[in-house]
Amino acid sequence: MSQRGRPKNPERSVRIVLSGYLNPEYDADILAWLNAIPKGQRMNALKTALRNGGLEQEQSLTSNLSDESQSAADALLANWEF
Amino acid sequence: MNDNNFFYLGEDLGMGANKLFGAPGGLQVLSQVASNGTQHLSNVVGLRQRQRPLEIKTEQGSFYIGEGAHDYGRPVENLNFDSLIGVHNRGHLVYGSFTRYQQQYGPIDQPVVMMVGLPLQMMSGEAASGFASEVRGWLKGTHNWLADGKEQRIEIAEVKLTPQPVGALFDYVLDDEGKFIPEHASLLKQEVGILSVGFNTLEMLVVRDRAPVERFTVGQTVGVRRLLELVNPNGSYSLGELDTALRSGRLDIEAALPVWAREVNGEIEKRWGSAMKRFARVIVVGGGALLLKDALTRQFSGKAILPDEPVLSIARGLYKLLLMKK
Repeated sequence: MSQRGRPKNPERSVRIVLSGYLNPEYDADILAWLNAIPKGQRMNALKTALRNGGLEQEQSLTSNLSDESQSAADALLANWEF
Repeated sequence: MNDNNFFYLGEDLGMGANKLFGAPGGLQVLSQVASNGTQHLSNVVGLRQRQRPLEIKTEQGSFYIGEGAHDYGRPVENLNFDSLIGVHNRGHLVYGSFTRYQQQYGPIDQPVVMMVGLPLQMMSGEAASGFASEVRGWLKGTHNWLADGKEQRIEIAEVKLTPQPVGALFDYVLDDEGKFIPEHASLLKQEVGILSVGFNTLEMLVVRDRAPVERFTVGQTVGVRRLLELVNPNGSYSLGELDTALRSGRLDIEAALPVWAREVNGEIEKRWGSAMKRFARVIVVGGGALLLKDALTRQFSGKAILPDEPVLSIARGLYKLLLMKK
């Protein structure tokens, strides 16, 4: 009797558990995105999001954020530094 | 600019106290000045001996500086903004502050680069550039004075100026090395209120879209001095004497505090009104912030942020700004 259904993947999947806290204000966009994903599809959605530009090193993300902050600070100080 | 060749110092030039913050730490020296020449109370037999205030001597004269100065000489009190400028006005206090800072943290041998915070009223409008160049002209250069008879010298290489509330904002968004704190720096792109409850003024600054919102930005003379005036209707005491009593917990403010709190709340309401509901955060600093903590927390419905050292926050933020701009 032949085996029914999807053939078993010969390679064993790696289980990764991530746990952390999201700030309701600063991370509101991520929370809204996660809540909008249908149940059972979060991992696939997360993998897609990571592959679409989120696989850079954290340092790069931090650097972008820092550049934006620096630009905002410079704009502000242009009005207020003598 | 080589970091090791300069000493970076933030200064919050306040009416109630002069606050300094540098790499080793911060301190405040009460803005009490008295001209020398009267009796020396410490010499009276039978009275409790108190530490004598610092005596600062320049070509302009000899003055007692800091806490208790008004007990030793004729009080010199002037809360006009002009009084923050020039060696004949604020200079002796600044020299006293430099002296105390070096006594506490060690000598400053390198030239000093300063970021000085001034009241919003001085740093706004057409007069701002004039005030800034006067303060810069006075501070920049080499200064010599005597502190309790000992020669002192400091070289100030560069002076930058900004309104005091700006220091509070950058104290919140920058870390101790002048780098942005990611969780806090997003405030720079939001609408945020900064409230500085100082000795003389209540300063309100709102930042939105990387620029100050003129309509919401103002300074009013309802700082802690207003509370002191309420408990001193006859003017029997100098403001400095009352300030010393307040800081040591010896001043009865039970009846006056709610009155003053209502006045401050009223000024905030008048200027910010219902718009404050949309502010992402309101940063509250200054000595008055400690007294009004409960009232302001209620008024801002949990959006208020009180830094760990609200009195030194502005000077610390100015120091961090210098690090950021290195």
